[in-house]
Amino acid sequence: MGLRVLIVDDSPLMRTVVRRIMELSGVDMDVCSEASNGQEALDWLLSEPVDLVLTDINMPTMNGADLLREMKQCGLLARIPTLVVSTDATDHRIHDMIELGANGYVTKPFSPESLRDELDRVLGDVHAG
Amino acid sequence: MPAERIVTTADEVDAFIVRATVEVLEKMFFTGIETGGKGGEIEIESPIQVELHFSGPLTGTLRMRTGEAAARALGSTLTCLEPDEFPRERCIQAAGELANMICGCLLSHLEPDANLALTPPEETLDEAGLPGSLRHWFRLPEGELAIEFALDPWPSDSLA
Repeated sequence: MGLRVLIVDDSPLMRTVVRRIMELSGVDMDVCSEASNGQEALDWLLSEPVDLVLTDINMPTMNGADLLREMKQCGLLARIPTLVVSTDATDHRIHDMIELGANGYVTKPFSPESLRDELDRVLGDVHAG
Repeated sequence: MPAERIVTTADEVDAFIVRATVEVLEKMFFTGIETGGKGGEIEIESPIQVELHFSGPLTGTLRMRTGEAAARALGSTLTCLEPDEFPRERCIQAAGELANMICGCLLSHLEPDANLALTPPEETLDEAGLPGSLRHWFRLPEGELAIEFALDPWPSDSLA
């Protein structure tokens, strides 16, 4: 059975890019939903089953850090693997997002291979754990 | 203890502008790029200009200008959508994403340990250059691309 994926980014273009790269990388997806900020994502997560969240950080209304914080506080949502996809490559930010519960972090620009490798690692860790 | 800033001269910042721009275009847009040179004004047909601001240990602005045709080609490559699916509005989004990635990449080279906030990229029609900015332009297969980068203020103890 394919994954039910939620892509969270305020840029519709980047949501398309992430979706396309996942398709090109051979990720088996049944459903690929999109949200334009953390609040929209949270609303979706509370109403629909999701296996994997890919989220940007800098977004209006609710940013990626607050989304992770909210998910961490909500028992069921805390179990959903999350991968941060961001232009922010600073060690400080990566550390903060992992502390907040992100399972992985990919910095833009990224190659399809690097996204696939990080997805494999994140999903492998979750299934192994 | 804050990490030591690794850049000491304007030439080094310029080198990082080139490195970040090449890295983003080659890795994410699969596009070959040639560096055109530092400074100067270049004529760009049907220009699209976007900028974003950053704040934190470094505060400043990155502005990027390219032609609509180049933005369309880049956006099409990035998304695997057909070029005719890119009206001007989507070309502006593509240019914004490119500028966002170049800025993020550049700042991570300049201040690897810093906590910097970036504003979303926005189109700007301002024709005056950014005061005190470094400028570098590049040749893409579909046209030119110019980057302007300004720090506010330039760190007086290092950059000249």
